Amino acid sequence: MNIIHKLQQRQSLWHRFLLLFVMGVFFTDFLIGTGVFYFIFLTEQTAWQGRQQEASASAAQHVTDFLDKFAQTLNTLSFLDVAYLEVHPEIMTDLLQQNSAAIELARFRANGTIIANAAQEEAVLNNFYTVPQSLWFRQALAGEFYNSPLQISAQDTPYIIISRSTRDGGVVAARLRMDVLWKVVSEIQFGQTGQAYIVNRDGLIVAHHNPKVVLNLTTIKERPELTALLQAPDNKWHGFYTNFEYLHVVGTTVAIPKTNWVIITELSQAEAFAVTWRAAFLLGGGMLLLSVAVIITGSRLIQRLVFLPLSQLQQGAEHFKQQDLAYRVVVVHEDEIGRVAISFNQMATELQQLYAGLEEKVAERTQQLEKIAADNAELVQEREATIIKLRAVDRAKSQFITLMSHELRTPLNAVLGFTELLMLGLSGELPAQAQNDVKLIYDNGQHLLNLINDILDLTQVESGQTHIMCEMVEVAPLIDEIITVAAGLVKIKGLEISAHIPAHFPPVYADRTRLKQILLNLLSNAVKFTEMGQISLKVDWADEAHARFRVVDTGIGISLDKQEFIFGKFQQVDMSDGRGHSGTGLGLSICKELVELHGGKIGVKSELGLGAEFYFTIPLSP
Amino acid sequence: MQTRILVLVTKFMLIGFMFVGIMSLVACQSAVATPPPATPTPSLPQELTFYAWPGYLPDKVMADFKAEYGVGIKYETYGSEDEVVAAVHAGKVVDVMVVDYRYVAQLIAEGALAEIDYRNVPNYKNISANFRNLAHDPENKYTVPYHWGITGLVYRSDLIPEPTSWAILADPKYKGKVGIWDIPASGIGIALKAVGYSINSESLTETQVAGDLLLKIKQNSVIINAAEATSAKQLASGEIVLAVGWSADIIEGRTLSKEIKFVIPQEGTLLWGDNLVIQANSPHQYAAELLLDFLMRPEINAQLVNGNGYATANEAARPFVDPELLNDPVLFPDTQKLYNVELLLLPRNVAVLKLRAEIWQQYLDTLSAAQ
Repeated sequence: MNIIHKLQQRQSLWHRFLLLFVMGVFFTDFLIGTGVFYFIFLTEQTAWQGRQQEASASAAQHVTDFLDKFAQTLNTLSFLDVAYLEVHPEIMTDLLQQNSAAIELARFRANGTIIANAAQEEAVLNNFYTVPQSLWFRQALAGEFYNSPLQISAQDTPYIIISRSTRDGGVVAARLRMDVLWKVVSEIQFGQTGQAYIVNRDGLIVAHHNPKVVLNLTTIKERPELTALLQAPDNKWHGFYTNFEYLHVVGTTVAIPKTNWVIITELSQAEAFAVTWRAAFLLGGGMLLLSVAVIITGSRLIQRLVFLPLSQLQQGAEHFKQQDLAYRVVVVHEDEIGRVAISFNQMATELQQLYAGLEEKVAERTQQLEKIAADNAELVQEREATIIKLRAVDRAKSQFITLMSHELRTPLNAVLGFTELLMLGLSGELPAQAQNDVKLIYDNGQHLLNLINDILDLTQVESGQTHIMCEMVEVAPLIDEIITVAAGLVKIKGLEISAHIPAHFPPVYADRTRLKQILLNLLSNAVKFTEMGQISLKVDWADEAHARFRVVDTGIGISLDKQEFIFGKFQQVDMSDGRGHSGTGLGLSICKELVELHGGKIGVKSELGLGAEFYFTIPLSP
Repeated sequence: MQTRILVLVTKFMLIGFMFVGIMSLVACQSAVATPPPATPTPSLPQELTFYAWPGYLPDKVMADFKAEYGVGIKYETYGSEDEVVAAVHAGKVVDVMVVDYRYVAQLIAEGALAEIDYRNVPNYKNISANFRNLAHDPENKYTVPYHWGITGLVYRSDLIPEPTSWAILADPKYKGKVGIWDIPASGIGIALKAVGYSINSESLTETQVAGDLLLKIKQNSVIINAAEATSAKQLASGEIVLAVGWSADIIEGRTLSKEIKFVIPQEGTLLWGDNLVIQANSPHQYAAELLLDFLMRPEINAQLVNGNGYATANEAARPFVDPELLNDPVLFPDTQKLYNVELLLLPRNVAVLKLRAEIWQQYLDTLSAAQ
């Protein structure tokens, strides 16, 4: 159901409210109803119980009176003198007539023979020949006031025999009609269904308004709830049970003193609860109707006061969402929700104004941005033009240098060649002085050639024309070669040179020729700038992927501020000292370019006067 | 919105009314009585066993019972009361028994008798008040009085004068001509009565005195053959002139000789009686109760009187009894004559019982010796 879904998602406050309201109303109903119902129930029960017990007590009193009167008669009889009685037997008749329930009176001697009797109908006691064996006789002789159990005669007359002893050791006995007692019992009435009857301790009904019940020897001992009441010590019992006629009743009991009888008064449960049920229906029905009215009225009121304004607010929000800021929520009352509506409307106004302002600013900014974009576009264009120009210049430069180097190298080679000729004496023996001079020419020429080569190299490298052919290069043999080449240089200056390579050092991925070039360059620089001490060539790992080559010398070192520039072009460290160290000043920049082509890095560690360490890294694998 | 409210409210109202409706149904329930549990009437057996003196139930009575209820009666007999008690002790199972008053107290105490549900025996109301609620069985829980009779003297009125006292039995004049039955209770009882004591005396001394008289009587007496139903024949023949007797004797005697008469001595007589009882072990208690009720019907009960010649405790049967029997003073004695009558029971004192047994044994021994 849609509503239940809404409730679960807490989307509908209205439905939640309604549910809670209804539940609350009905719960209150229930509480009040139960309370009132219970109260009525108790009141009714107490009332009935009171009436019942009153009726029972009154009936018990009747019965007791009845028996007491009887006892009195017997008493009188028992005190009479025997001799007198024998002479005036009519006294018995008088006594008999005093008591309407008595059927017969008799007096006996101790041996069981009868002295006198009087009877209303058939005399039975005077025809007794079993007197000495009779229980009524024996119990009376034993000193008890004896009531026999209920007997039914052949004429369906119920009677009991009451006996007691006399002064002279004899017995007086009387037969009592029990149906008189039935009359007493049937006169007990209360309510419409109330009835009473008498049972003895064995559960046998001895008096009932319906004679058949007694004559049929009806017993209640088969009703288990009732056996308890028959044995109840205080004999004032009250309870709900099913009686011997299988009706649901509420009953009370009162014991009749000096007998083994109990009066039971019963009222049908339907009657006992009649008022309660009626009240329940009326109450229930009334409260139900009232609740319905309350719910309908209450919920309509809340609808109007709360939920309707809320939905109007929501409508307003919808309009704003759709950017219809001109919409204003209708305010009916200036209550809590009304005030929200007013604020809402004010907010709408503000928003409208804000929007208007914003649009202006946006227009401004847009203009500015457009101008900047235009400027940028110009600059980009210029830059591109410049790049093209620069490229053109670079190309021109390279071409020029290549051409010029070639142009320069050709005659220079000739000069060097012929100079060699002269040195070799192929053009005739030269005087010694001339030999020194020719040597000088050769050296300078050589130097010039180196310079040109370096410039060409560098240009090639810079313009990207240098290609390195990388392969896996075994380091140890390479180092040996280099040491061999450098050895000559080193010996001249009296320096020591050593190489340190870890055993089983892996090959590096490099151009062999160029690598040699770099190492030779660094070594020659080391030799150049070291007057004494040693030079070592070390190889180890920079990291897992790169090898590190180090050329360490004990030379003059390089000051920190100069370290910045040494990898630049045409730089020699001590340009100012004028000692004229040979070298083109291009070597380190070429090394830098080459190392970087390999994908490595080059650097220096040095302190003035403490030697220098030049290091570079080469990858171990492609 | 409004429709929704109405829908919800209507739903709740429906629930509410349903609730109220259910409650009212529940309320109605409590007024209606629960039907009584169906107790099925016990099924009736093929036959019931009736254990008594011979001839207690006329054939017609048994046939009528079978015709009405479909239950046959198997008649079993005993020759003496001791036999009944012995049989019960031995574990014999019967349904209905006839038991003399003397043995009732003992059997009740032993739990051998079943409590009778008088709702099934409504005809019990026909029993005379005389026999109800007697001390040995208060409220007649176990016994329904059956026959009763008085013990007296039967005599040849032409041969001896009318006896007035039990002591005549010891009168040497009639030596050898006095008939006594081998019924210790009546013999000892008569002796006790003759010496002025209760026939159910619990006293050893009293019993001993009676015993002495009995020995005197024995000089005179002969034991009447138990096979004989009555002493009538022997009286008629003159073999004996005097005997302890009951109504059956006089009824038969009268047919044999007008001279045979019956008298109750002045000391008073013994009232004997028997009862219908249901054995506790009987598997057919309900059917047995039906039989008891049947036998208490006035017209049926009268048939027993007419057939057996014994008085009945059933007052209502009187109109149906043969007028001849009804008027018979022996059978239905005038109660004025029953002055000093005593119901024949038994003493409970074990020592006394033992003494009685000894006395009677002595008596029998002496008798046989004499003969």
